[in-house]
Amino acid sequence: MDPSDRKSEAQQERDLAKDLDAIRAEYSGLDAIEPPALLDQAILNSARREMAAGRRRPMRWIGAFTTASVFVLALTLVIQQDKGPVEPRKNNGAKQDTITAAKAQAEPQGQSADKGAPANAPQSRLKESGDLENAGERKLIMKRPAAAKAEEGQERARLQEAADLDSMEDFRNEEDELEMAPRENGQVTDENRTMEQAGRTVAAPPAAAMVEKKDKSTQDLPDPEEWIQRLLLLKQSQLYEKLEEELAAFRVAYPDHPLPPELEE
Amino acid sequence: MRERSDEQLMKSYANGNMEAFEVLYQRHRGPLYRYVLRLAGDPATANDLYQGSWEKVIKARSRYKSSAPFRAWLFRIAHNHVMDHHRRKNPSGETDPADIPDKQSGPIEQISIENRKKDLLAAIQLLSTEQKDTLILKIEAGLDLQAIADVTGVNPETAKSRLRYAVRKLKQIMSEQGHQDG
Repeated sequence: MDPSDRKSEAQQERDLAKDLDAIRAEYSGLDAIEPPALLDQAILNSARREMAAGRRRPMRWIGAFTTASVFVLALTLVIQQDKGPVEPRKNNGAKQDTITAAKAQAEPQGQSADKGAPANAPQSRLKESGDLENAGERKLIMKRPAAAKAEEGQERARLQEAADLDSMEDFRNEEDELEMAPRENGQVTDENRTMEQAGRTVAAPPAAAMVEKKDKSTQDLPDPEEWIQRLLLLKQSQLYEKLEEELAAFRVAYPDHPLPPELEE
Repeated sequence: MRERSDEQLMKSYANGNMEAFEVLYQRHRGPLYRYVLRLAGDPATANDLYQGSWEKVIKARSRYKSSAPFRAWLFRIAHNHVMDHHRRKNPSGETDPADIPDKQSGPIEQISIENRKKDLLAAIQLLSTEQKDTLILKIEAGLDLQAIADVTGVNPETAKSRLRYAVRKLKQIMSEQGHQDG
């Protein structure tokens, strides 16, 4: 037997520790080899990249959540569309029942009692007409056209109002032009005022404005006879410059319309 | 300011503190590199393995538990990475004949006798992978037997036995080279 085997365990450990100390002392005397600086940099950069990627990662759930939300929304719409077209095909009797039921539900209970109708009458009618669960949907479907019509009406009224405002604005501009012309010439007289009043009475837009709008449809132009009357008034008022302008505009607008002999001069 | 422990620094890095990692890296870069270099044998392979080890540490940062000693955890990752490399290099598990030092024409004969430092390194290279691994973990990383056992995946008795045989063989090689005091 090897004598070393007979040594006690403690002695072996002491010997091992002693040998290790000697080796360690020898080993520590070696040149301390370090990793290359480039390797250090590469590792630190890698750590930074991972850190940056780790910071972005928590945002990934938003993408998944958005996808799931869109999917659920799309599914809901498809289901609703699948149910939707079936309802309007039902017979008018069922629709009438639904409308009646909706009205009855809208009315207070007391009023129904006053009219002598039983409180549960709408429900019984609904049951007669078909599936009670579909009643709510039917009501929605019935309400949809009415709401659309109301919106359409509102839109039409709004457009009409805007058109009225627009035409009023045009007339105001025309009146301003009419008023400004004599003032610029310093010929504000009683006759001018009379002419202005007459112009207002005729309510015809000035020819200059009409020329500007000549590319518009002809229905925007004033009636030629009315225009001629206006021209005659201008002549009577001795506003010859204005008359010339108006006459030129008239010629452009109605090149083939005959003029009265007074204006031909 | 009180110096923070490795475990605190690692937790701090896992929570997003890059400076903590830099401190940690500076503390362990030398010992870990030398450990990998001794096991790998050549600097080029050692560089790859060293970088790969740190990358594994970086990726595993969220799985690190502060209850475990960081140093042992770090060297275990490096140990596994180096062993995986050896396994890939030699799937049969047999030692590559090129890696076996020839008693007659091995590095011992080639190294300069007067260069004691080189002799020691050459002697370490003559140890088996397990013995070399255990010895370097002891003298370079400064791990105790329990930690070495944890790193290498064996029980402490096996680690102790490997260490004992490594020291005995190293002494034998050194004595053969005329270093009776080693």
